[in-house]
Amino acid sequence: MALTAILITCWILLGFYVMKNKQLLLFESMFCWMGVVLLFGDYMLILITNLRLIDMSMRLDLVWASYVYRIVLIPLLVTWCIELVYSVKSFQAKLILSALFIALLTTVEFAADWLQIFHHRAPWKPWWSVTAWSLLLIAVFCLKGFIRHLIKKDLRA
Amino acid sequence: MMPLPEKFDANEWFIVLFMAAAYTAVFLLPRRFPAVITAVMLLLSDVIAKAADFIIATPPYDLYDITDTPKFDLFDFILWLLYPPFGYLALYIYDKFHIRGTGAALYVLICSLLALGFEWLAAQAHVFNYKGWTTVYSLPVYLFVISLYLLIYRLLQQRFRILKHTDASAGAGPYGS
Repeated sequence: MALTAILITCWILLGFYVMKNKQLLLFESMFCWMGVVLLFGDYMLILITNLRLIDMSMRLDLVWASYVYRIVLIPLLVTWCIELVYSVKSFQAKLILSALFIALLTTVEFAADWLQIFHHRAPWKPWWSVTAWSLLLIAVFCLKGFIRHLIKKDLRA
Repeated sequence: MMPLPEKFDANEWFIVLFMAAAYTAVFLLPRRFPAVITAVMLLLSDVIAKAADFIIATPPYDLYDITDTPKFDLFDFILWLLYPPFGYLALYIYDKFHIRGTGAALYVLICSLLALGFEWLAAQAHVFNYKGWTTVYSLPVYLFVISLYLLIYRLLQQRFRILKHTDASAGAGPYGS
């Protein structure tokens, strides 16, 4: 059930992303996506293997759901966030959208816990998730700025 | 959070030496690709390696450990920085010699065999400690991944040409350069 739910969500989000008139260039979407896979992957590995703050399920369907969650769903949501934030002009609207996405990512994380894809261990506090998502978004905005700088430089060359 | 290795022995030296050699080679080569393509392709090599390790080196499959401990230690992280220069070198040769068609298929096979040789050396130095995996299993993975890598490069190259053309013909392109 969890794997099906995640796959359907990814399919819908990806379908709308492909159809949308995009602000981001292919290079930017790919760079942000891969940046999230790397940063979020390291963060999850540290939580799972080193700090043991997250327990992973050993059921095969849930294990594959966790791979899709880490490699597709979360990067896709963050890419959507960057896309929408860059499509609005005012700073306040950008801030509100970012805050909404942090809330959404936190909800998705706890939904994954509820679906038993993984389980947060006892000392885990929801505000830790909020902090982690905020930091991830800031890092990805920096990556987006970096790749935009490279594109501008290449086009001038 | 990220422990240091238990002992600084063969596997750590292997990583440090190959990393120094690979990055030196990359920096000594003349620049060939636009910076944005280089950045995306470097990150892509790392993502592919990391995604493969997520899937097959962590429980429940857990088919090998990287470096000294099953934990995510500093040299596990550094090892992932070793993949991008190798990807870049493979791409550099592919692009410099305009390898296409049957040549490309042969090139993918040669790269996969070289990667297999490198993995075998790494396993001898205990960078990879197999627990149910053997080097030969990696061959189909390399064949698939290297083909995909080259295909993505061709796509990005094509997109970059379109972007540059749009930018030049419009006077002010997507970023008003």
